Amino acid sequence: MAVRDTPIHRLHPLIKLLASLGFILIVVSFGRYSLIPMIPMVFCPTVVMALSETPYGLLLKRCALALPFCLLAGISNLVLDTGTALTLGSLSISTGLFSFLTLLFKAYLSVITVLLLVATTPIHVISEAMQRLKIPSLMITLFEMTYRYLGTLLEEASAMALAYGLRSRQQKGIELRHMGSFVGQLLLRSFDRAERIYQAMKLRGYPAAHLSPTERKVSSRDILYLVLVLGSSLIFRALDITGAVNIIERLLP
Amino acid sequence: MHMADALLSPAVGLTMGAVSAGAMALSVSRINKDDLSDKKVPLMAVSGAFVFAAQMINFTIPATGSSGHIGGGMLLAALLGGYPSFLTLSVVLIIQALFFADGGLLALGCNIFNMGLIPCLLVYPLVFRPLLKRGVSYKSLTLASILSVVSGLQLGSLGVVLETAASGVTELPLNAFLLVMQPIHLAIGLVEGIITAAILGFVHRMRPDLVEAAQSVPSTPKVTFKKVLALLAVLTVLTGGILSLYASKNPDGLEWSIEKVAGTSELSAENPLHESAAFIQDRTALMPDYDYTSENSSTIPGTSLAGLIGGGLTFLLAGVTGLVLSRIKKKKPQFTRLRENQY
Amino acid sequence: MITVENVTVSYPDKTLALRQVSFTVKEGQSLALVGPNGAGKSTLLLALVGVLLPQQGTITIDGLKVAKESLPEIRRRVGMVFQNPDDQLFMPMIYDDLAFGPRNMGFSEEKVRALVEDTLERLQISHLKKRSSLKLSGGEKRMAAIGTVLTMNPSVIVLDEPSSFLDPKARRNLIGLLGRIKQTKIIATHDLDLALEACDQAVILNKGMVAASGSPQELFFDEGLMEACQLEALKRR
Repeated sequence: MAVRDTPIHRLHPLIKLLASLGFILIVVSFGRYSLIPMIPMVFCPTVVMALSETPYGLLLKRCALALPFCLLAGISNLVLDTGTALTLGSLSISTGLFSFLTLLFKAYLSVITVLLLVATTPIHVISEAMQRLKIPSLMITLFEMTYRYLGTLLEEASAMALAYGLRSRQQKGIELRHMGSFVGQLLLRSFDRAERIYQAMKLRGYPAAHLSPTERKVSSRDILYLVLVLGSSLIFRALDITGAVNIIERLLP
Repeated sequence: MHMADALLSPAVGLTMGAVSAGAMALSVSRINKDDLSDKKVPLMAVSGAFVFAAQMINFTIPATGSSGHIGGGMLLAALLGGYPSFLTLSVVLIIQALFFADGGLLALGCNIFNMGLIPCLLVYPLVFRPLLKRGVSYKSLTLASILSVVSGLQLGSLGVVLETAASGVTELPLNAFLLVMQPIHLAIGLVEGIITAAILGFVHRMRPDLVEAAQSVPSTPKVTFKKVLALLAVLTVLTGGILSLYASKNPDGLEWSIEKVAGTSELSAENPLHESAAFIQDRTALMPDYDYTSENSSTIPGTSLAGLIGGGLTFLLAGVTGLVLSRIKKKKPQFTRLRENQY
Repeated sequence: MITVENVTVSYPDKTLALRQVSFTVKEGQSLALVGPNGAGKSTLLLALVGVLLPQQGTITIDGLKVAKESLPEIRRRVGMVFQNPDDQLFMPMIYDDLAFGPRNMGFSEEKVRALVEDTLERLQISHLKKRSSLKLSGGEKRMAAIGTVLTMNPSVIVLDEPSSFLDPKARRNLIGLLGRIKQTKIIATHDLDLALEACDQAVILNKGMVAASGSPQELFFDEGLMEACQLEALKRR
């Protein structure tokens, strides 16, 4: 998914990072009840999602997995914040509902922003961007290699867990009294593996002076993207949509 | 225990980001001074991946039917030393934030502080190492593991509480939040401490050199109480200042509930076994009976029928924009699809 | 030309891994190193690239003795393919894995690209260039692991169990490739059929010592010898 070629994928990775971070900062700077003024903020992620051809279902699924913590932290607002915000006929909506929904909306926007950033930026582009940020090569190698071995060790751990499960009484998990040797085994295997990887690296000349990354200039297209994302968000942040709403209100009978 | 972006204010997020970035820069320079730094990199990377895998291993507690997973911070510190374990955990948290949407970009600073800096750069040199000074034995290893994991988690959850409170996004009163978080993390800490002790005990039996070597390497901060006090003072001033802005919004005296269900989407999709390995952390508590007087409703912007209609229309418009753009993109597919095939 | 003379290696706990091992391999030849588990095959390979240094005896590669001082040059001359490709493919992308060695040798990025592209072409895995090693099949991983060594253009290549993790077709591919690689090769393997096809000579190790050496044809079908070394002789068809 991260190796497609769309206008969003082609953007300078640093610009994308900057835009994402700025966008999240603006999102979280909205007041705790600013649900409605915040709604225009959905434009940016939605447009980026469409332009980058990122499947919406997939994003939502990933997003749903990240939301529960905010959901549960926000429940207190629902329960504790019982003022009346709005009465529609006989129905009254509490301020707690507003702050709760605001929190959830913020969570949705910030999570989807990070997901979009990663979905449109392959790992090697991320590490190139890190090099350009002058992040020490130790960190970058560490980042790349940790990412590389995640899958390998997860496979190893799940093969071990499967072998354990097939021979244990219950299928649910590792019994507490076996955790020491189970995780200890995995750890020793990992350390042995690290030793072999070190040898493999050493045999191919590691460590050597680090290379500077291939230069990549910030294009006018990148600047335009940054200005559009941050500019529109700042305008939404500064302008209250209720101003526009008043006009609608006048049109209503 | 991951903080989320939405629970933070920009000030708290950026402050903690700066503190954590500084600590990471310091660690990199310390490790680079070490002669063996090139050998440490693959070890740290594989250890990071190991922590990730270890967090997916679900264990069951006999007779209770409950299950959990370990965090692994203190385990790494015990085997790699302070600075390397801190950097390793930082990278793990960065990867979790970026690729697993666990935590968030802005919350990274908080998460690295709570789950990396506290156990590796504070608790490890102040609690773990001194307890092993007189030699590594089964007893000293067990005591050190349990004490340090418990204190690490206590401080870490305190961090979560303070950062959330200072951001003022939720209605949680500070001391009620503490009353819930601290006992839960005491229980979690005890279990993780026992497991950490068992793992270290196993490793020590199999490879005594690994455990003992780590306790003698210099790649650990020389933390004095003075430095800790200074750090605490700085943080107190920083958070205190921000906190006072919101203090009035946080009345006392109640209990609430919080529960975190952290998902591991990619894994569960790829391997059915991870369905069971996906961890669920339960933190239960009681619901409050507290009479909360809210702020004046007139402070809430856009709260009118027209406001709701306007908001709804905006949403609709955004959705339609997205749809239209997707359609346009799909109508001229040759261009992009061809390029895709190169990979 | 590789000369191994009276090499003895013992591990820190004093167990002898290799005892008085001697043999030579001529330029461009390939040698099969066979023997039961624990015979010392992997130890010998590690000694050839200087990860382990022998307590006694010498190993020379094209006249240069393997020693602490000569390690950088030795490692330029000898490439090692690990048994488990996961240990060797440690970068996020196959391209970077193949470029790792040449970059460390200080080549310009254009030269590195040319080397990598050329090697990918030779191994017929150009399509894997931008893929992560995690998602590759066993055969693809093995080809890429060999590629990481080929890009450094060594004069000697040592391979540890190259046919492990391979299905019959991938194994067939590998045998073809071994035939096309011009460098001097030492292949440690349990796969006698592969050794028979790909190697000009063979050394049988048992309990850290050379039990026999000669051509694969005369060694692998000798039931008495093979049984004495805890191996299974090949049957003539």
